[in-house]
Amino acid sequence: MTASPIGHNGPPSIFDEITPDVPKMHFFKCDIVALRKAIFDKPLDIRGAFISALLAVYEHMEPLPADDNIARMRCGIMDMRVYRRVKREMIAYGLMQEDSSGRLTNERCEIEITAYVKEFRQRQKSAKDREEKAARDRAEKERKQSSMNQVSRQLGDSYGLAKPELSASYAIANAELTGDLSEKHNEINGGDSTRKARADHEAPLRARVLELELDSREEKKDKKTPPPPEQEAEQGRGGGKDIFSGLNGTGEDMTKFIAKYAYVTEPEARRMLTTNCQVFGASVMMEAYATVVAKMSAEAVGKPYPLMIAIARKLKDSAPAKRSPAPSAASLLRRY
Amino acid sequence: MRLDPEHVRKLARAISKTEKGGPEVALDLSFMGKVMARLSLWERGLLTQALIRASSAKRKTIEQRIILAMFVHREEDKP
Repeated sequence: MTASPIGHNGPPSIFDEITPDVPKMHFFKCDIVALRKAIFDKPLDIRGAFISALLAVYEHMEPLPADDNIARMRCGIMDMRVYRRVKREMIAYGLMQEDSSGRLTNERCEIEITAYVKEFRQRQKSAKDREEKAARDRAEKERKQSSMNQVSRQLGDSYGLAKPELSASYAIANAELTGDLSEKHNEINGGDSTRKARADHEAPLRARVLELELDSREEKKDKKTPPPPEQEAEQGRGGGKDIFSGLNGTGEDMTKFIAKYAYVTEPEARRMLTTNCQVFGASVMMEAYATVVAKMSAEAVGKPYPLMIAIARKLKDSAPAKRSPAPSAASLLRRY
Repeated sequence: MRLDPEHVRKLARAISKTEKGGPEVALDLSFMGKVMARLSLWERGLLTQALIRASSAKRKTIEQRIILAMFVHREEDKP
């Protein structure tokens, strides 16, 4: 511990820069080699006084005051004369230095306290930067969230079905999807003239529609005699209203039956019934429905709706034999 | 003599090396102040001497270990 020359207007001390927000030190780092070198040849009471003075400087983080009374109390020395004696000897040995204002300090103490205050300031600054960064990130996140909410509100119907340009493309995609993909049509095998244009909101069960379309295509290809007028009227595209009126009041019941056993909604069931009536005929559908209902009342039926369609198809297939056209004159002549 | 691991850890945390290679001990201010208040100047000098010897010793005796254990700063003493 060497004496440091401190002039009258010495350099600003670290002790002057310590603000009240700096917490007090709880420990100090003692360089054992330097301490031993400083006190090895000194009397024990001077060693004791020196260590007491150091503790006082570290504890208060300021030099020992010029007022001997306060300094004595801080060093824990009862007798003033003893304090003044040890103070003189410590200054003489160079263990402590007296500044211009009469305060006692030590170079090593200043270095330690400076390092402590610097570390505290650094930690304070890092904490402040961290907090500011966290606040900025939070604000940024909130801003993004609010802008996303704003955008989703602006979109409204976010899937764009309400937008005309998108609904048009949806219709095109829908038509392509419901098309018969198993067979490609070209000028050789002809186009699919039986495919009906559908509105965007119609979404019939794809398998059932394909089945019915294939049946109707076969019917048109095998057509040799024109259908009887009553069947033509039933098969005509007169709309659901005519078909339902031809069901003798059972239209609602049949709709509910289809909705229940084909697991579709009632509007969908109505559309399916309309299509089935167009293909098989209203009377055939009524007969098939009655047959299935009778069968269900007698025994448990696993799949009522497919059974009804199967019965309708069978009835329709056997219909030319049942509903045979009026014999021609030539055929009558042959018979007789 | 088998050493308590906690004691060894306590001293290891408090004693470090300086740039010149000598030991540097973190001493608790509050406890030292209370102890010094009970001792005369001569006894304080003696205590200082004992602390210096205890810190410098390569193979510490039990007395040296206990003196260091009493005066070194502990992590749990931080507020």
